[in-house]
Amino acid sequence: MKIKVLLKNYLQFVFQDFLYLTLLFSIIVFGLTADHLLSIDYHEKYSLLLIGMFFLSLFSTMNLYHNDKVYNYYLRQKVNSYWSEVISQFLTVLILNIISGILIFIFSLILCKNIFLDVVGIVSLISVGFLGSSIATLFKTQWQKHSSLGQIGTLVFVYLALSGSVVSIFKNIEMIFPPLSRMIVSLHSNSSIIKLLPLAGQTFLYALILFVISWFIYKKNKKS
Amino acid sequence: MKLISVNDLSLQREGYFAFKHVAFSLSQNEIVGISGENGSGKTQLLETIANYEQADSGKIEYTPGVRIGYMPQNDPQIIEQTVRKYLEDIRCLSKDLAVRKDQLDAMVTYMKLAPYLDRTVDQLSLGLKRRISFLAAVVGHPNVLLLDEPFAFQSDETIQNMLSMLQDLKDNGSGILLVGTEQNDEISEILDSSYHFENGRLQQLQSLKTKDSQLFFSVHHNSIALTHDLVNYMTRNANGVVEMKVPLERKDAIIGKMIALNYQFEEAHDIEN
Repeated sequence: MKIKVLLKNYLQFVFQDFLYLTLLFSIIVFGLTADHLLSIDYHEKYSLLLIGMFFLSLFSTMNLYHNDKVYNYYLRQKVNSYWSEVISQFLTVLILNIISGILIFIFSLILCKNIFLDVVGIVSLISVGFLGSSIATLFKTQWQKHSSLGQIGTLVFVYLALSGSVVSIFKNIEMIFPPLSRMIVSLHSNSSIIKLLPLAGQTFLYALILFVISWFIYKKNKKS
Repeated sequence: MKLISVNDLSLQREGYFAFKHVAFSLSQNEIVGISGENGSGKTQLLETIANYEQADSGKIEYTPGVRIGYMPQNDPQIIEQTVRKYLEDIRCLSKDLAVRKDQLDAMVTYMKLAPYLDRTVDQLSLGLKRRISFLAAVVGHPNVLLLDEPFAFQSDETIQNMLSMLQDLKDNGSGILLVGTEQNDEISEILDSSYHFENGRLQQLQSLKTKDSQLFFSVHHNSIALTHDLVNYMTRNANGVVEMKVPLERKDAIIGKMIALNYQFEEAHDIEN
């Protein structure tokens, strides 16, 4: 019941907020028009959609935590369960990313008869969105006690996510960076969305680890 | 039984004391009132007790098993559910400890919210939202109820109904802390003790319920006529029994005087004015 009450509330924050819907529709419109507007092939367009999906999830999840802090101040006391709170938030970002991933891919005009390519295309978008959400979750302290730390941390992780495979000094340690840039570099070198599947798996795993770390960090903070 | 004990509690905000060295306790079957000017620290104290703020010094002791119901001064939550669904969800959060569904329905009717049951909470007026917030604090059947300005924007009739519900909760073992800018006579009547916030300090006010004592004496053949000061307290003199109503603090002195005048002391009852 606690999860149901919170989940309903969080979904309301996401789907009735101008930020998520505006960003989502902007990305969809970009997907529909990019070929003609920028004269780019579908690999380049898909790379830009991956980046768009990453920022969509990052900002929407940050907005979710911000709204949670501002509006749910007293609801959380009524619910009074840390794990219900984090599970509801996790389910919300999962739903948000699945819906965004499917819609963005469908309207990107990349959709084809090859079901496997379509599935990998959607899964990769979802995994990148999940990564954006996990970074926002790790640094949700920006809406709590340590706003500067949270903001700087988010900026650093976004930089590392976009530069890990591009900046040469990071080459040897790129495994520990968020794998967004690796996915884009891989897409350009392999020229096939299907070959992104292992990297999408890695991205999911990476994001999941960030989520789990966040849950325990903030649980500890809540106790102290 | 004490539910909450607050000992030497202080809280500073931006170099200013929101409140300092606050001490009081809340017990079962007790209603405590705290009044004070705007900005005197009442809400901060309530939020600290409800665990939203961390005090800088001092201690709050909660008796194990204490469940807090809190009605905030201003709940920013955007509720796009109907009144019926929202209250039912809040009731279900407390599972078996909450009031029963039929009891909730009765409370809704009693608080005159029945016509609004199918309206979205967010569309209602501030006064109605605060009534819903009051019920949301109560439906979990907490043993400690913290209410911040619960009577603001309410009609006299609604206040009366809220007061009877509070009295009922008190009689069923809850401890209630009522915070408001002022406590009028009607509200003061249900308070067991009352405090006033001034310059961040909490001062206990003298009991608002002034107490008198009703004394009964039997008249003997050698009883002497009552002196003028004693006659003023006499309420009845019939069938060989003198009945008097005296201020509690003068009770012992008057019993002594009456015995000196050869009246037999029979019994005494403390009564509230």
